[in-house]
Amino acid sequence: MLSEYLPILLLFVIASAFAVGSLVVSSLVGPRAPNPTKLAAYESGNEPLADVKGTRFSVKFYMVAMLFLIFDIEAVFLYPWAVVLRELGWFGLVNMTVFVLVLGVAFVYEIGRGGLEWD
Amino acid sequence: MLATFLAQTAATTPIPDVAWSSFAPELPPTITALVLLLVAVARRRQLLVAVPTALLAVAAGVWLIASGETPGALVVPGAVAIVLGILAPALVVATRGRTSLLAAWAAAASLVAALVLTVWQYLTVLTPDGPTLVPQLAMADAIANDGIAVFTRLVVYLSALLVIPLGYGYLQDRRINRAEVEPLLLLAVVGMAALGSANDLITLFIALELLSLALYVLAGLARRDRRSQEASLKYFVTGSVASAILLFGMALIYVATGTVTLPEIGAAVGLVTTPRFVAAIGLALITVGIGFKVALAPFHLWTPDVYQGAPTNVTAFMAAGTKAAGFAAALRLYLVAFPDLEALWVPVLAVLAALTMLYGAFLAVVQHDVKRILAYSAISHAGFATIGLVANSDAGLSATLWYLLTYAVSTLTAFGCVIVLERRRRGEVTLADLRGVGRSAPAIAGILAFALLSLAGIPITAGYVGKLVVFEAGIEAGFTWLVLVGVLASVVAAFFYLRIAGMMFLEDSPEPVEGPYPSFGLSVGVTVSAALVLYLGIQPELLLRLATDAGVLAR
Amino acid sequence: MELLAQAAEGAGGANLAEVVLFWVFSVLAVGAAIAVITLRNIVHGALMLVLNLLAIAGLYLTLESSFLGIVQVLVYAGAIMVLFLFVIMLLGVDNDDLLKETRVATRFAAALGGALLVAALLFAFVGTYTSPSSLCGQGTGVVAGAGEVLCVGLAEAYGPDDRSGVAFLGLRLFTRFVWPFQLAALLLTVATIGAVILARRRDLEPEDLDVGVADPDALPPSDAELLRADADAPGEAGTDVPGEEPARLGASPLAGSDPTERGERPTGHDRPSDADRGEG
Repeated sequence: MLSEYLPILLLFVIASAFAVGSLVVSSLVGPRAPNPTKLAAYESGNEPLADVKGTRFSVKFYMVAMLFLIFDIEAVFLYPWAVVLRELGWFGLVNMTVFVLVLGVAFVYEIGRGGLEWD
Repeated sequence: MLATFLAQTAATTPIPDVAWSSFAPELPPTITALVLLLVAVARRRQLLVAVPTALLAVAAGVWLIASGETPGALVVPGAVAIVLGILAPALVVATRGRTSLLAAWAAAASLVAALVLTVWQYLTVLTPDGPTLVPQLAMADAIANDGIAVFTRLVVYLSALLVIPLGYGYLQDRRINRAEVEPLLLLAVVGMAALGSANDLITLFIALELLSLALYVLAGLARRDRRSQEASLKYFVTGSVASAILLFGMALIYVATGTVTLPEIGAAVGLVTTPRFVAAIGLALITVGIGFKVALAPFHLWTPDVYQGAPTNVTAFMAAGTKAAGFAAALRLYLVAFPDLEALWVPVLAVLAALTMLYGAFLAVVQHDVKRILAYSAISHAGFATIGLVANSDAGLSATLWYLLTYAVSTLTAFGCVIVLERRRRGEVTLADLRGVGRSAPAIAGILAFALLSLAGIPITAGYVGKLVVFEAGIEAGFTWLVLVGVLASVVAAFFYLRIAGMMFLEDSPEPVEGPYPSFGLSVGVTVSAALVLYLGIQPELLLRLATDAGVLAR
Repeated sequence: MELLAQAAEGAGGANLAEVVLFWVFSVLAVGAAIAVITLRNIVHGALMLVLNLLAIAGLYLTLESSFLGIVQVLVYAGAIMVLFLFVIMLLGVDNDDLLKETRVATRFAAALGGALLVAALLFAFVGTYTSPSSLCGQGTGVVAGAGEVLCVGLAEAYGPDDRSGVAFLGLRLFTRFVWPFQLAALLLTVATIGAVILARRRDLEPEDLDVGVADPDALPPSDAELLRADADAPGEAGTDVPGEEPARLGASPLAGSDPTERGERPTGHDRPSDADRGEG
């Protein structure tokens, strides 16, 4: 049962070890000569325009995240449905069709209202 | 691939029997809401949505009529589908691209259809032989069509139907007549109806969330009005906390009983193997959650701000519909799932009812904004409705259902008058604004006074009969003290209701009063709801008998 | 927690790995939860919440509910946390006002309420499910109303062919709970409408509103219009600065308004928004 997760656990451990190990090794063996340019935030070589602290995101991000969440939940319902579709037969097909159609209306509405436009 | 699938369509697992008639009243508002969403984004191509809808609806209607087991068995739902189908393109043509007018008419038509189907369902499906209602479980026990369900459907569909004409002109004045209003209203009312027939905790929770979520959005409809935004945010935050508490309670009930179906919980709670303490904590949390939703003191703190800040037609709908649906859920929960724990919840709810009645009545006295007064009155009325629940009897059940109907029509009339008075006025109507209205607009002042008398419970109004049956049920169940508290609260409440009436008729305005400007929709809405208040006040027999019959639970 | 560990042990014949994992995830979950409410930096708090949600997903995995575990990662640690972080960034990370607890009484009451709830739950569960003489300790399980059996572990409930619980969940969802499932579609639709209406930056275009009055100019300006004029005055409403949002969160009339105080004040002016309606 749980032993099925052993490979994932191993992967997790190796990945963490690699990440932590790289940081530790580079801080141990690397030379250190800081200057203001090196310490500045990395902006592809440009001068940073503003202090990152205090920047506020637009509410548009929030809406995209919210819409993502809604359709994410729809996708979650699809997994168990797909697994048992054969056992459910017509009934399962019709029910999921109705479910997806209702959310399809919501989706069309969202597009029509410009919910996915970035202005 | 589909062909392969179709070749093996035989289900290998028992499939629940989908009894269409069990949720038939919910179908017209749901489908109309979805179609209206499409219409809202179709802009100039509304017929492109309406015509296919019409074809599908007419086809469904013809198929329904033809497929009845006995000839004519399904004529009513079939006819409803055909009429609604034909109405869709007709309305599009008649309203000539005015989306909100189209939405209002379509929503009203679908609510009429819902009412027709509710009555049809009651007459043919639920009373198969004779006048006694036979409760039915449907959709794998998720729906319980009993008295509570039928009565809740009547109340919420009627409330929504009355709110549409009341709100149309109001939304237009405020420039918030968005095409989404009616779909949200319809989905909220479907949530309320589903809540009234929810037979398990999961359905109950999802239906409750459906109506709450729609109302959060409706409360914040006026995006430029900070009070509306504040109302929406407050309602959302407190409502979510309440939902979380309710859900926690439900989880504990499931832990204790191993089932989410209400009658099975009712059977399991009484078993010796059920850990009663876990069930008791779950019950306590559920009581807190439900208390929030129906605004029982001390969980009512959100109510005044939300009722005041939300657009007035939304407030009216919240007061009338949410209260009815919330109490329907409460009745079913306590009476079906927790009869064995009555020693726990009856005294607690009795104290809450007393607190709520007094708190609402006394605080309403010191308010100056008319909407706020009506909000405190809504709190107080929740207390009165709880008396019937506390009575924990069939009579009490009928009394609460009946009380919710009378409260719904009375409060709708009152809020409708407030909408009329709010037109052309910037901001809200305060008591001072009411001076002289009795002279400048005697009709609307008279109707408002009549609605307030009904809320106060003066004879020949619906409210009087409502209070009477609730008090009767309370006394029968031995809660004389609670009824006395109720009488005291009524007296206090009568004071502030009469103060409003006095302001209108006895005092003069210092400056000339700009007359109110009722629109066609407002006149119709207010007149019909006022007529209902009067009808239920002087001829209560028919619906009172229905409420009494409705005291049959799907246990 | 020990109680739950014992419960798990009694349930499915737990092996050592399960017990070890249970402890690892539990300590992680509780520690991260404590960090969420104690860290001063709100973004760090959010990251701790991610850790907490992941640890809970791990707990689901040890409880043989792998589908729930994956959903927990997908929806909670994924989508919902993104939402959280966006809100934090929307309000501004170094907005210190958000972190200050103004009233000690609130904090005290919250702590008391939480402690009471935990005490009640512990009291309810100790003995009921964990002691050897308890229902589960006897190994027989409880036959509840629905004929369902508690205390057997999920693996037995799923049946032999279903190792993840997805099929079990699917069958239950599409037979017993098909009605709430369809209602959930409507719920998600309403959520979509709400997201589009409330969070959309650009206001309505003219064609979205049809003013059905014959002569709209005959009416005096509505509340909304006047407020719009107020809102437009200081800065342009169309700019992309979140602070200019008409219903901006930072300057909400909620700030400093207490429903009880307001409700009970006998004089007029019980409206919260009089002050900031900006009538002048």
